Amino acid sequence: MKDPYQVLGVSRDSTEDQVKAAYRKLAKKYHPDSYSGSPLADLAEEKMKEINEAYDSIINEKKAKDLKNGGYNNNGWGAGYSKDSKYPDIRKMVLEGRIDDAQQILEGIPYNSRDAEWYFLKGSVLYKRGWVEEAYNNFSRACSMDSSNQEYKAALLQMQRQRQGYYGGYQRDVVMQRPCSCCDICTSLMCADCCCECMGGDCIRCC
Amino acid sequence: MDWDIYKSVYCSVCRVAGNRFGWISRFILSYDCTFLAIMLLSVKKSCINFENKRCVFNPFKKCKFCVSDKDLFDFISGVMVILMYYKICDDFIDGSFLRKITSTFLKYIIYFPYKKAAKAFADVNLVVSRCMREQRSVEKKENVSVDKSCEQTAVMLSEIFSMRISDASTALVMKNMGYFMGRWVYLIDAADDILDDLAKGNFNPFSDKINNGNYSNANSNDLRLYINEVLNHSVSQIYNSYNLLECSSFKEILDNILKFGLSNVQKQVVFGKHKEMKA
Repeated sequence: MKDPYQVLGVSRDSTEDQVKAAYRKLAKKYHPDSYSGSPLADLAEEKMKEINEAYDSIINEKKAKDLKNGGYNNNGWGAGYSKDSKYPDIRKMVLEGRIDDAQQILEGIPYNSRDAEWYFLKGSVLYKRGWVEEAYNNFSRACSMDSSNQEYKAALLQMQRQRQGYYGGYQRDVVMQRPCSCCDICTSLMCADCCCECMGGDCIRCC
Repeated sequence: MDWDIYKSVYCSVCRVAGNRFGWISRFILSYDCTFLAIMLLSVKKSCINFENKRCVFNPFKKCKFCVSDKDLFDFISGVMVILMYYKICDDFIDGSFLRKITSTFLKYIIYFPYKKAAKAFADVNLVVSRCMREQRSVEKKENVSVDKSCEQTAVMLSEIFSMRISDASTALVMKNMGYFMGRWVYLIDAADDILDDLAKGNFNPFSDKINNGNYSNANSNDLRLYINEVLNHSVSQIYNSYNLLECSSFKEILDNILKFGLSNVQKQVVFGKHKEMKA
């Protein structure tokens, strides 16, 4: 097992508050909600487990109160088990990562039989494939067909937050938190332009 | 400091490319593929040493070069030459008469370096040729969704990002990161070209939205906000992947590129003043 202090990025003489703050920062980064439905969900879960174990071990060592799940509830939607599902077999396939099979069965269901859950599962399958735009459209449709379902709402909300730039990208009305020096902006712009050029595009024509 | 590191990696790619594929390949290097080099060096935890040597172009100038992981730099150089060759082929097919002439000339001078690179990195050549071909085929169709439009470029980068990673978990993450990087690169280029493409009747994944009446015109604020959301969605996935990677060195420069670089380019391309012209 890795050194727990290294995992959390704290020194051995950190206070309990400092350890908690470090834990919260990492938990926010690897929170299951961010990876719900993603093909990287398992890896993120392993990382979260490592962070939780490190936190537990440090806090036990400091003889503090044991917070087994770090105080966070997993509200992730991941198309997992649902008691009243009409499509338990499809949900099982999605959980097992059998995306092609799940998609094939979904497509086989006639158009006029497609309910809100169908659109939610279609969205889940597409999200795992990386087709995030259509995933978003399908989740929107699921929510409009069944506005009371919390699972569909959670999925849609995650898409909306990702699109609004909370997890990266440009937010129109938000001033950047870290002040950039001219050097940072220039370097970053050139580097990003280069990513673009290297793949055939060219964002900043003069570079 | 960030810039020094970036330049050192760039200089190293230049040196290796010239040695392996001929001096011509040095001319096609602007800062291409340097990001990929930094990403791979960081993820593979290649021990980085920098050494002072003379610049191959200007013997009076001394530069710092990376001296570790020769295989990685060989790979990057090969990727660079192969990508450039197919880009030139694409330009030849799509371009105006003048561009066709320039492309013919460039294709001639890059041909032998390309043949060498394609032989040395047959796996790269196979992926790039297949994906570029299928990308062209998609762009000839109608009513193509945003996801479908960028799929081939996304798949191409997902393969390139992961093909030299031996650890299965890391390869999965790099594949995911490459996929969404490919999406972002394709879509930001499409956003940048939307006015030109509409005027010339060229394929653009966003033009359907205008032609179908969802947005009044290509300059509308609502359309820009929509395009920004689409790009943000890809960036969030790039971030998800990046956070799972254990990047040893170059973490600061990678943080800068991903956090500020992508965002700044988006801001400029989608909301920049030069976009406010008549369609």
